[in-house]
Amino acid sequence: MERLSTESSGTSDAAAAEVFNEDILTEILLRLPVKSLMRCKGVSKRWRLLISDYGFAKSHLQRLEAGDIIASQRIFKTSPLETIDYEVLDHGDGDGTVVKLHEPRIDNPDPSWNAELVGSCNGMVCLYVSGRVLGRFALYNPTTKEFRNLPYSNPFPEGTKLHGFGYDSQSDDYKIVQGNVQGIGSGFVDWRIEEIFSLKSGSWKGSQAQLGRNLLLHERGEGVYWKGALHWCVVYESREKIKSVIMSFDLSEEKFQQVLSVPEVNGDIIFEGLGIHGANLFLYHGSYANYFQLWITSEYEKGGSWTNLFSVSEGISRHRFWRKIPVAYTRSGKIIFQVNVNRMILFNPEDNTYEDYPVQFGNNIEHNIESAVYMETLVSPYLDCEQSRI
Amino acid sequence: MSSSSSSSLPPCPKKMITLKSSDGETFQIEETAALQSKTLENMIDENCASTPIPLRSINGKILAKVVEFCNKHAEVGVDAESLHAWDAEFVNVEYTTLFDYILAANFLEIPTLLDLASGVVGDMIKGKTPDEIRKMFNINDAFSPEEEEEVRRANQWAFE
Repeated sequence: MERLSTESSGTSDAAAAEVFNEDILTEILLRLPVKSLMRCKGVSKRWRLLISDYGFAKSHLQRLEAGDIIASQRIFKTSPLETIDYEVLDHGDGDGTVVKLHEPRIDNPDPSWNAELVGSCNGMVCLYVSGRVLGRFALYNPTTKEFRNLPYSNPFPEGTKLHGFGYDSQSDDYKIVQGNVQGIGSGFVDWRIEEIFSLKSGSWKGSQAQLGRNLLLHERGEGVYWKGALHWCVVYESREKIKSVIMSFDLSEEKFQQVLSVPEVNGDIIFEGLGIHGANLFLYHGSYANYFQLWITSEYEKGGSWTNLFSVSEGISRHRFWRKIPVAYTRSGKIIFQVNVNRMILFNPEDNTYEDYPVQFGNNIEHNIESAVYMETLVSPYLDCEQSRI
Repeated sequence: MSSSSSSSLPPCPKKMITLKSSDGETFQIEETAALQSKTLENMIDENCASTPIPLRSINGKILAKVVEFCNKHAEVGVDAESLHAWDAEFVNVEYTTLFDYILAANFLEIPTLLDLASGVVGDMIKGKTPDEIRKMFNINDAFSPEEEEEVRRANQWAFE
């Protein structure tokens, strides 16, 4: 009798994992970084199914966002597609594993296809793969290497585009928006979102959301995803003056709104743009007066406010790079800048020095390098769709 | 620590309840400490805690540790740092014992203990190969060699 009860209670060297139900196993696995989880997929069928589940990927993402697990961030870049472990690179162990070439199975009949970066959200990057005939969107998780070609949207006119990719928490869906611009003279134009793709439904639908008239985009038309909305920095012309504002497109409401004004600067701005710095949105701009400034904000409710992260009139401005797009910030305070279409540098604001980044360039120099930071997650471009998996 | 009848005690400031392990050992625990367990809390609320509570899935060795954990975490005036050090010592045990803690914490619904022990097991998994993990968890439903190769190829980078 005594023996029997001990046996049923102890795990000791009995099959412990089989004693652990799904809930407990999930509880344990949710604490692991993505890299370990990828390895754990190789433990057993049961473990692989559990880790591949969309619900698991979502819970894991929440832990990452809450800071319960240390998130691993990398840079994703195009032309060619590569990922950069920028923290490792900053610490001097440049041993080749920091930059990795990616070759997803891109399904395009045109061998000279080119992938443009549309956006990055929850560990997935959205690409626009253009060929000679038709372009199409694709989603890629560089961490799990899952790649998905998305259905063709309506043929899209070449030229300036309004693009964006992000997450709609209200319907637990990922969305891609694409919009168009109509010139109305003197460089100022009418922007609108034409189509929205829902990953859940797997299809495109029409939209009539209007960004507004008399606006000018300084930068590329890719919206920056932050807190459930896409953001663009636009120049707005009013009767009195021309000023820059931040417009957002809420992915749940599918509506535009003006959210923030941009801090005033001396001199004419020659470039400006938005990016993500940790949980904050940042704004950068440079002027003819060789001035470069970086601002961050954590909130834009009730007006919001910008904090100046750094400003330089010397340093990086002294180096005559045309554009200086800050891509990522290392823990030691260095900044990775993309300084032109095929060059990235690691800049140290403390002593105003920089070194080149060992990124590769494609054969076709017409294709610009575009880059974005992503977090390593398990979120799949197929969401819950099991048959897509190995 | 073990046993005595609690039912005849006069009302006293420290209300005790009795737990009985799978191998028949009994343990007394203050109600305030026991309330960390959702399972025990429910039983206390439903007045089912007046007689020794039989815990058929937890043996005496583990139950003694669980009671120790709950007592420590119910102590007043322990600063976070020393509690942290105490916790670290508490889980500095064989992984098989950690598995038992996890099972007990799950059954008794003690989130702090579940969290602590799961975290340590998670850390143990981190640096291990699938083979080592299978050994640790004694898993037999592994893949066929072909399937394994396929998973390995798909997840190449995680094995590097």
